[in-house]
Amino acid sequence: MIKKVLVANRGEIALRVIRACRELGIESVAVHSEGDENSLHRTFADEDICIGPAPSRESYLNIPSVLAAAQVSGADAIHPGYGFLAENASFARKCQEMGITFIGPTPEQIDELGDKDRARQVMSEAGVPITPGTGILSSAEEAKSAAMDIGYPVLIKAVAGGGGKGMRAVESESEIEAAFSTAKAEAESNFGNGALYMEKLILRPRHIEIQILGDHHGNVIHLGERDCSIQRRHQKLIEESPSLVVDADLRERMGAAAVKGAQSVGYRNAGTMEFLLAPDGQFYFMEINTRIQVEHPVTEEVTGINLIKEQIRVARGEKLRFKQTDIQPRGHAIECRINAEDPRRKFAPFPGTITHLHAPGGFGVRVDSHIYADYTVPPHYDSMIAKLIVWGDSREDALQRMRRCLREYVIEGIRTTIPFHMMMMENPEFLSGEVYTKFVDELDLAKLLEDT
Amino acid sequence: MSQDIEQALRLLSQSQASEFRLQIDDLRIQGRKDADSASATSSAPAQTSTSSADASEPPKLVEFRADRVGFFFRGPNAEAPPFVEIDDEVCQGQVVGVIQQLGTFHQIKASADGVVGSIFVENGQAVEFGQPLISLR
Repeated sequence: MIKKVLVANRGEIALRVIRACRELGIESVAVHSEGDENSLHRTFADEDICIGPAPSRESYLNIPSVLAAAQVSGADAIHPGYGFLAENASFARKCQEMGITFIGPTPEQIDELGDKDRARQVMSEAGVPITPGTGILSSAEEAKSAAMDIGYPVLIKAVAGGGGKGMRAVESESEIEAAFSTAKAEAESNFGNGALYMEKLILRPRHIEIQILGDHHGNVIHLGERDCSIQRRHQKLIEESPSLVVDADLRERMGAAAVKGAQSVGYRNAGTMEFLLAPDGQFYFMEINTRIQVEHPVTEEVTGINLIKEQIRVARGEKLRFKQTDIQPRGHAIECRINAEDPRRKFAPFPGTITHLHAPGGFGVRVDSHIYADYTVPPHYDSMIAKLIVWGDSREDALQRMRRCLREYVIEGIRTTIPFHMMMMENPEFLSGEVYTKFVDELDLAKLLEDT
Repeated sequence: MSQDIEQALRLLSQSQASEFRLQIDDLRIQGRKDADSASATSSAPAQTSTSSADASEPPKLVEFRADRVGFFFRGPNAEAPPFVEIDDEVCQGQVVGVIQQLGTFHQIKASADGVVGSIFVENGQAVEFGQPLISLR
């Protein structure tokens, strides 16, 4: 039984969780930093507590502050959203110790699967295909001989890494020592853990992820795939479901692999298994995200299932309401992440006050956003201000709808990535599906945006 | 009494001190000296007053705020008597309350000297970060 959920997050995801709570008749508690005095999620929640100054480290990432807020408000559950403390096993453990339900997997699952090297081992044992690779490398010498076995090009990756940090692609043996030491240093300074491992570098891969959902009774299902190949510096920009290059057979095989892997650890609650799909059609486990993801609405639109509500139901101890055969995706959904950034200036952040706002609407349009006219986008946090999601009965229908919506969307007073998305919705390679994860990085954005 | 005050203020004007508090029986005077108050000292400020004399600007409102989320207690714990009451004088660094966060007690210390004017929270009340607890007048 969950009576009151504290939402340990901010922005659009805090709103998202608060809305789900309201529909379930559950009370919600918002927390905010001094940098978020004007944030909408404060007014949407039943209660609101200031937990610290603007810097995330002193507020949203401050475990005692968040737990104290739960204690003083009497919250019996915490939803961590994504980012911040969502994959912090220590935080999940402390919730458990305080008798607060952490809406997510167990602390042990977060620990084990959050370590990329360990996750690869676990998945490999479960029979999930993994990229040919190694365990933790003890030296550049070991890296050299491993690379010879695997075959160049290879990727040196941080075990505790994310967002592309602590990662180095190596084309030939002459580069390997330098790559090893710089990756190690970057990993140490970014994650406090310099341990590295190696994987075969798949060229021109697509990033295909499978949404999974498990209950506390051993049931796990998958809800299909999302194609997140449009990224810039490892940050996703556009996601869609289904993927143009995943047919029913491949979906079944990838989904089955994801479920098998999740079941092997008794995975609970929502999660996403990320795969690399090589041009030859082989797929390889990359990592598992033990939380709800930014792009979850894309899956919600094609399946008709409210993932946040299902997370809360699972956390309450309920059995999954769906069998695998009940999951019947329909139509096509696309999400564009709208950031307060200037795409004409290398996506430089552009916080400031929104003077005019008009969001698009109509059939098949969904806007997940915390912004409003006169809202000042604070500089302290990530720059995503809205998620624009469309559903269509086909990919072409969805694309037309997205084009219409991007034209309708008015956000004045700051610069946003809307022009970038408008350009992408006309880009021939994106339209024909010939994209891969480095696609955006390799585009000549300056030239393309001139024409928009 | 007025002679005492005159003498005190004359001493002040001759000293390097820029701020002062003076108490004679029931009379309390608190004030600040301007950098160039040389001309002011030659005239005798004779009136008794409980408001600031020789002050260059009115004293700012000082508020002590919660530095963390938790439960505020007026004394060292839930049952103990309060550290301070209204009209008490406090010195900078003096403990004026505690916040209990997840079982650990954290002292709230006065950040300035002054006299307690208002107490905004009750014993045991839940407080958020930045919440005003006590103000000086």
